[in-house]
Amino acid sequence: MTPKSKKIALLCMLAISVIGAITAYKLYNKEHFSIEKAKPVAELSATSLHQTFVQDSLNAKNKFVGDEINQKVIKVDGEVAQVAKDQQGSTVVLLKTSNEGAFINCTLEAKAGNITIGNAITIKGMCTGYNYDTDMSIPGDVILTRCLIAKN
Amino acid sequence: MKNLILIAAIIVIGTATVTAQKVYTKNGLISFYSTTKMEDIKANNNQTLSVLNTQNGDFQFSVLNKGFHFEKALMEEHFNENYMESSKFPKSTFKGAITDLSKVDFKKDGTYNVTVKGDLAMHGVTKNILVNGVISIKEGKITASSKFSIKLSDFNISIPGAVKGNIAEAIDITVNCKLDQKM
Repeated sequence: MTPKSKKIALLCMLAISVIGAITAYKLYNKEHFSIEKAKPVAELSATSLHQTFVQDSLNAKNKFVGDEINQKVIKVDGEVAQVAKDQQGSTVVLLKTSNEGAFINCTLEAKAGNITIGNAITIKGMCTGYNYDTDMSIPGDVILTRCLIAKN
Repeated sequence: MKNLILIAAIIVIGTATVTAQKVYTKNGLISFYSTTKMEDIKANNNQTLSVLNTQNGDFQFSVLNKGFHFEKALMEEHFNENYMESSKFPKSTFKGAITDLSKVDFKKDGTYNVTVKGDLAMHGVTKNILVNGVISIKEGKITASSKFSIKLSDFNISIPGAVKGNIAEAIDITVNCKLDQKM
Protein backbone atom coordinates (compact mmCIF):
# COMPACT_ATOMS: atom_id res chain seq x y z
CA MET A 1 0.00 0.00 0.00
CA THR A 2 1.42 3.39 -1.03
CA PRO A 3 1.63 6.17 1.57
CA LYS A 4 -1.13 8.00 -0.30
CA SER A 5 -3.53 5.02 -0.18
CA LYS A 6 -2.68 4.51 3.51
CA LYS A 7 -3.64 8.13 4.17
CA ILE A 8 -6.94 7.71 2.28
CA ALA A 9 -7.73 4.48 4.15
CA LEU A 10 -7.04 6.17 7.51
CA LEU A 11 -9.20 9.14 6.61
CA CYS A 12 -12.05 6.82 5.55
CA MET A 13 -11.80 4.92 8.87
CA LEU A 14 -11.81 8.17 10.80
CA ALA A 15 -14.86 9.43 8.87
CA ILE A 16 -16.72 6.16 9.49
CA SER A 17 -15.89 6.32 13.23
CA VAL A 18 -17.08 9.94 13.49
CA ILE A 19 -20.33 9.20 11.61
CA GLY A 20 -20.88 6.09 13.77
CA ALA A 21 -20.31 8.04 17.00
CA ILE A 22 -22.67 10.84 15.92
CA THR A 23 -25.38 8.33 14.92
CA ALA A 24 -25.04 6.44 18.22
CA TYR A 25 -25.18 9.70 20.20
CA LYS A 26 -28.28 10.88 18.34
CA LEU A 27 -30.00 7.52 18.80
CA TYR A 28 -29.15 7.41 22.51
CA ASN A 29 -30.54 10.89 23.05
CA LYS A 30 -33.52 10.75 20.73
CA GLU A 31 -36.63 12.35 22.17
CA HIS A 32 -39.92 10.69 22.96
CA PHE A 33 -42.38 10.95 20.08
CA SER A 34 -44.73 13.92 20.21
CA ILE A 35 -48.30 13.12 21.29
CA GLU A 36 -49.43 16.42 19.81
CA LYS A 37 -48.05 15.58 16.36
CA ALA A 38 -49.02 11.89 16.43
CA LYS A 39 -51.99 10.87 14.30
CA PRO A 40 -54.60 9.13 16.47
CA VAL A 41 -55.47 5.58 15.37
CA ALA A 42 -59.01 6.08 16.67
CA GLU A 43 -61.37 8.65 18.14
CA LEU A 44 -64.14 7.19 20.25
CA SER A 45 -66.20 7.67 23.40
CA ALA A 46 -64.94 6.69 26.85
CA THR A 47 -67.78 4.17 27.20
CA SER A 48 -67.07 2.59 23.83
CA LEU A 49 -63.32 2.31 24.57
CA HIS A 50 -63.98 0.68 27.94
CA GLN A 51 -66.57 -1.70 26.53
CA THR A 52 -64.18 -2.83 23.79
CA PHE A 53 -61.62 -3.82 26.44
CA VAL A 54 -64.20 -5.47 28.70
CA GLN A 55 -65.72 -7.52 25.88
CA ASP A 56 -62.58 -8.55 24.00
CA SER A 57 -59.35 -7.42 25.59
CA LEU A 58 -57.12 -8.95 22.90
CA ASN A 59 -59.01 -7.27 20.07
CA ALA A 60 -58.93 -3.96 21.97
CA LYS A 61 -55.19 -4.29 22.55
CA ASN A 62 -54.58 -4.88 18.85
CA LYS A 63 -56.65 -1.82 18.00
CA PHE A 64 -55.53 0.69 20.61
CA VAL A 65 -52.20 -0.38 22.17
CA GLY A 66 -49.03 -0.19 20.11
CA ASP A 67 -46.13 -2.60 19.96
CA GLU A 68 -42.86 -2.17 21.85
CA ILE A 69 -41.50 0.56 19.62
CA ASN A 70 -44.46 2.13 17.86
CA GLN A 71 -46.96 3.22 20.47
CA LYS A 72 -50.52 4.09 19.47
CA VAL A 73 -52.26 7.34 20.26
CA ILE A 74 -56.04 7.65 20.58
CA LYS A 75 -58.57 10.44 21.18
CA VAL A 76 -61.26 9.81 23.75
CA ASP A 77 -64.43 11.86 24.31
CA GLY A 78 -66.11 11.65 27.68
CA GLU A 79 -67.48 13.29 30.79
CA VAL A 80 -65.02 14.29 33.51
CA ALA A 81 -65.76 12.23 36.63
CA GLN A 82 -62.79 13.26 38.75
CA VAL A 83 -59.64 15.37 38.62
CA ALA A 84 -56.75 14.59 40.99
CA LYS A 85 -52.98 14.77 41.34
CA ASP A 86 -50.83 11.65 41.40
CA GLN A 87 -47.88 11.20 43.78
CA GLN A 88 -45.54 12.98 41.37
CA GLY A 89 -47.82 15.96 40.93
CA SER A 90 -49.19 15.10 37.48
CA THR A 91 -52.88 15.70 36.83
CA VAL A 92 -55.05 12.61 36.51
CA VAL A 93 -58.42 12.96 34.78
CA LEU A 94 -60.95 10.14 35.09
CA LEU A 95 -63.52 9.87 32.33
CA LYS A 96 -66.86 8.21 33.07
CA THR A 97 -67.78 4.92 31.43
CA SER A 98 -71.01 2.91 31.54
CA ASN A 99 -69.51 0.68 34.26
CA GLU A 100 -69.89 1.99 37.81
CA GLY A 101 -66.46 2.64 39.32
CA ALA A 102 -64.58 2.05 36.05
CA PHE A 103 -62.95 4.91 34.19
CA ILE A 104 -60.62 5.93 31.42
CA ASN A 105 -57.64 6.87 33.60
CA CYS A 106 -55.73 9.69 31.89
CA THR A 107 -52.45 11.11 33.22
CA LEU A 108 -51.62 14.46 31.65
CA GLU A 109 -48.14 15.15 30.32
CA ALA A 110 -48.21 18.87 30.98
CA LYS A 111 -50.12 21.30 33.15
CA ALA A 112 -53.63 21.94 31.96
CA GLY A 113 -56.09 24.78 32.48
CA ASN A 114 -59.31 24.39 34.40
CA ILE A 115 -60.93 21.01 34.04
CA THR A 116 -64.44 20.91 35.46
CA ILE A 117 -66.11 17.78 36.78
CA GLY A 118 -69.21 16.97 34.74
CA ASN A 119 -67.98 18.75 31.60
CA ALA A 120 -67.47 17.07 28.24
CA ILE A 121 -63.80 16.77 27.27
CA THR A 122 -61.64 15.21 24.57
CA ILE A 123 -58.31 13.74 25.66
CA LYS A 124 -55.51 12.58 23.39
CA GLY A 125 -52.95 10.15 24.77
CA MET A 126 -51.03 6.91 24.54
CA CYS A 127 -53.06 3.83 25.48
CA THR A 128 -51.13 1.28 27.55
CA GLY A 129 -53.97 -1.18 28.15
CA TYR A 130 -56.64 -2.29 30.60
CA ASN A 131 -55.54 -2.64 34.22
CA TYR A 132 -57.93 -5.21 35.64
CA ASP A 133 -57.35 -8.15 37.91
CA THR A 134 -60.14 -10.61 38.73
CA ASP A 135 -58.64 -11.32 42.19
CA MET A 136 -58.95 -7.70 43.29
CA SER A 137 -62.72 -7.28 42.64
CA ILE A 138 -62.19 -3.66 41.62
CA PRO A 139 -63.58 -2.34 38.31
CA GLY A 140 -60.66 -2.00 35.88
CA ASP A 141 -59.64 1.24 34.19
CA VAL A 142 -58.33 1.69 30.65
CA ILE A 143 -55.04 3.54 31.00
CA LEU A 144 -53.89 6.52 28.93
CA THR A 145 -50.53 8.17 29.59
CA ARG A 146 -48.76 11.29 28.33
CA CYS A 147 -52.18 12.85 27.69
CA LEU A 148 -53.09 16.28 26.48
CA ILE A 149 -56.45 18.02 26.36
CA ALA A 150 -57.63 18.11 22.74
CA LYS A 151 -60.95 19.85 23.47
CA ASN A 152 -62.35 21.23 26.72
CA MET B 1 -91.37 -4.98 64.52
CA LYS B 2 -88.80 -2.90 66.41
CA ASN B 3 -86.60 -5.98 66.72
CA LEU B 4 -86.86 -6.60 62.98
CA ILE B 5 -85.74 -3.04 62.24
CA LEU B 6 -82.86 -3.43 64.69
CA ILE B 7 -81.73 -6.70 63.08
CA ALA B 8 -81.97 -5.12 59.60
CA ALA B 9 -79.92 -2.12 60.81
CA ILE B 10 -77.25 -4.43 62.27
CA ILE B 11 -77.05 -6.36 58.98
CA VAL B 12 -76.74 -3.13 56.95
CA ILE B 13 -74.06 -1.66 59.26
CA GLY B 14 -72.25 -5.01 59.36
CA THR B 15 -72.20 -5.26 55.57
CA ALA B 16 -70.90 -1.68 55.26
CA THR B 17 -68.08 -2.44 57.71
CA VAL B 18 -67.13 -5.60 55.82
CA THR B 19 -67.11 -3.83 52.45
CA ALA B 20 -65.02 -0.96 53.85
CA GLN B 21 -62.21 -3.35 54.74
CA LYS B 22 -60.56 -2.84 51.39
CA VAL B 23 -58.72 0.34 50.54
CA TYR B 24 -57.26 0.88 47.10
CA THR B 25 -55.85 3.21 44.48
CA LYS B 26 -55.67 3.08 40.73
CA ASN B 27 -52.88 5.67 40.57
CA GLY B 28 -50.19 4.27 42.83
CA LEU B 29 -46.53 4.75 42.01
CA ILE B 30 -44.04 2.03 41.17
CA SER B 31 -40.51 3.06 40.25
CA PHE B 32 -37.42 1.15 39.46
CA TYR B 33 -33.86 2.27 39.59
CA SER B 34 -30.71 0.80 38.17
CA THR B 35 -27.34 2.30 38.97
CA THR B 36 -23.94 1.45 37.51
CA LYS B 37 -20.67 3.31 37.01
CA MET B 38 -21.78 4.03 33.45
CA GLU B 39 -25.25 5.46 34.11
CA ASP B 40 -28.35 5.62 36.30
CA ILE B 41 -31.66 4.51 34.83
CA LYS B 42 -35.00 5.31 36.41
CA ALA B 43 -38.56 4.67 35.32
CA ASN B 44 -41.91 5.49 36.91
CA ASN B 45 -45.42 4.17 36.51
CA ASN B 46 -48.18 6.19 38.16
CA GLN B 47 -51.09 3.96 37.15
CA THR B 48 -50.61 1.11 39.57
CA LEU B 49 -53.77 -0.60 40.75
CA SER B 50 -53.22 -1.58 44.36
CA VAL B 51 -55.48 -2.91 47.08
CA LEU B 52 -55.04 -3.62 50.80
CA ASN B 53 -57.44 -5.56 52.94
CA THR B 54 -57.12 -3.93 56.36
CA GLN B 55 -58.84 -6.88 58.04
CA ASN B 56 -56.56 -9.74 56.93
CA GLY B 57 -53.54 -7.87 55.49
CA ASP B 58 -53.90 -9.10 51.90
CA PHE B 59 -51.98 -6.75 49.62
CA GLN B 60 -51.89 -6.80 45.84
CA PHE B 61 -50.81 -4.64 42.96
CA SER B 62 -51.05 -4.78 39.20
CA VAL B 63 -49.14 -2.58 36.79
CA LEU B 64 -49.08 -2.36 32.97
CA ASN B 65 -45.48 -2.65 31.79
CA LYS B 66 -45.99 -0.32 28.83
CA GLY B 67 -46.83 2.47 31.27
CA PHE B 68 -43.28 2.76 32.64
CA HIS B 69 -41.91 6.08 31.53
CA PHE B 70 -38.19 6.68 31.06
CA GLU B 71 -36.27 9.88 30.57
CA LYS B 72 -34.80 8.57 27.32
CA ALA B 73 -36.99 7.16 24.55
CA LEU B 74 -34.38 4.56 23.59
CA MET B 75 -34.32 3.14 27.13
CA GLU B 76 -38.11 2.84 27.07
CA GLU B 77 -37.95 0.97 23.76
CA HIS B 78 -35.26 -1.41 25.03
CA PHE B 79 -37.18 -1.98 28.26
CA ASN B 80 -40.38 -2.93 26.38
CA GLU B 81 -38.75 -4.80 23.53
CA ASN B 82 -35.70 -6.58 24.93
CA TYR B 83 -36.11 -6.88 28.69
CA MET B 84 -39.79 -6.96 29.69
CA GLU B 85 -41.15 -8.11 26.31
CA SER B 86 -44.19 -6.03 27.17
CA SER B 87 -46.47 -7.27 24.39
CA LYS B 88 -45.94 -10.89 25.46
CA PHE B 89 -46.02 -10.09 29.21
CA PRO B 90 -48.17 -6.94 29.52
CA LYS B 91 -48.52 -6.89 33.32
CA SER B 92 -46.45 -7.26 36.46
CA THR B 93 -48.32 -8.22 39.62
CA PHE B 94 -47.79 -8.87 43.29
CA LYS B 95 -50.18 -10.97 45.36
CA GLY B 96 -49.39 -11.45 49.01
CA ALA B 97 -50.05 -10.24 52.51
CA ILE B 98 -48.66 -8.30 55.43
CA THR B 99 -47.46 -11.05 57.75
CA ASP B 100 -47.45 -8.95 60.93
CA LEU B 101 -50.64 -6.94 60.55
CA SER B 102 -51.22 -6.83 64.32
CA LYS B 103 -48.44 -4.17 64.48
CA VAL B 104 -50.70 -1.75 62.58
CA ASP B 105 -53.39 0.28 64.31
CA PHE B 106 -55.43 1.61 61.41
CA LYS B 107 -57.33 3.92 63.76
CA LYS B 108 -54.19 5.71 64.92
CA ASP B 109 -51.94 7.99 62.85
CA GLY B 110 -48.41 6.70 62.64
CA THR B 111 -45.75 4.87 60.65
CA TYR B 112 -45.69 1.12 61.04
CA ASN B 113 -42.86 -1.10 59.77
CA VAL B 114 -44.22 -4.37 58.44
CA THR B 115 -43.15 -7.46 56.53
CA VAL B 116 -44.82 -8.40 53.27
CA LYS B 117 -44.69 -11.86 51.76
CA GLY B 118 -46.10 -12.97 48.44
CA ASP B 119 -45.71 -13.74 44.76
CA LEU B 120 -44.14 -11.23 42.41
CA ALA B 121 -45.02 -12.10 38.81
CA MET B 122 -42.98 -10.43 36.09
CA HIS B 123 -41.79 -11.38 32.61
CA GLY B 124 -43.57 -14.75 32.82
CA VAL B 125 -41.83 -15.75 36.08
CA THR B 126 -43.48 -15.87 39.50
CA LYS B 127 -41.21 -15.67 42.50
CA ASN B 128 -42.09 -15.71 46.17
CA ILE B 129 -40.52 -12.73 47.92
CA LEU B 130 -40.30 -11.48 51.50
CA VAL B 131 -39.73 -7.72 51.81
CA ASN B 132 -39.94 -4.90 54.32
CA GLY B 133 -42.75 -2.41 53.94
CA VAL B 134 -44.18 0.61 55.68
CA ILE B 135 -47.82 1.41 56.38
CA SER B 136 -48.29 5.12 57.07
CA ILE B 137 -51.52 6.50 58.42
CA LYS B 138 -52.13 10.22 58.33
CA GLU B 139 -55.51 11.68 59.12
CA GLY B 140 -57.03 8.29 58.46
CA LYS B 141 -55.47 7.98 54.97
CA ILE B 142 -53.38 4.87 54.43
CA THR B 143 -50.19 4.74 52.35
CA ALA B 144 -48.41 1.47 51.63
CA SER B 145 -44.77 1.66 50.60
CA SER B 146 -41.82 -0.63 50.14
CA LYS B 147 -38.36 -0.60 48.65
CA PHE B 148 -36.66 -3.82 47.69
CA SER B 149 -34.15 -5.22 45.28
CA ILE B 150 -34.62 -7.96 42.69
CA LYS B 151 -32.15 -9.81 40.51
CA LEU B 152 -33.04 -9.53 36.83
CA SER B 153 -31.72 -13.05 36.20
CA ASP B 154 -34.34 -14.41 38.66
CA PHE B 155 -37.00 -13.22 36.23
CA ASN B 156 -35.29 -14.54 33.09
CA ILE B 157 -34.28 -11.05 32.02
CA SER B 158 -30.88 -11.11 30.39
CA ILE B 159 -28.82 -8.07 29.55
CA PRO B 160 -26.99 -8.14 26.21
CA GLY B 161 -23.18 -7.98 26.44
CA ALA B 162 -22.99 -4.60 24.70
CA VAL B 163 -24.91 -2.83 27.51
CA LYS B 164 -23.88 -5.03 30.46
CA GLY B 165 -22.00 -2.14 32.06
CA ASN B 166 -25.00 0.16 31.77
CA ILE B 167 -27.64 -1.91 33.56
CA ALA B 168 -27.29 -3.27 37.10
CA GLU B 169 -27.77 -6.99 37.74
CA ALA B 170 -30.00 -6.12 40.69
CA ILE B 171 -32.46 -3.26 40.46
CA ASP B 172 -34.32 -1.38 43.19
CA ILE B 173 -38.10 -1.38 43.07
CA THR B 174 -40.04 1.25 45.00
CA VAL B 175 -43.75 0.91 45.67
CA ASN B 176 -45.65 3.91 47.00
CA CYS B 177 -49.44 3.70 46.97
CA LYS B 178 -51.78 6.18 48.63
CA LEU B 179 -54.78 3.95 49.21
CA ASP B 180 -57.38 6.71 49.30
CA GLN B 181 -60.38 4.83 47.85
CA LYS B 182 -62.60 2.53 49.89
CA MET B 183 -64.86 -0.36 49.01
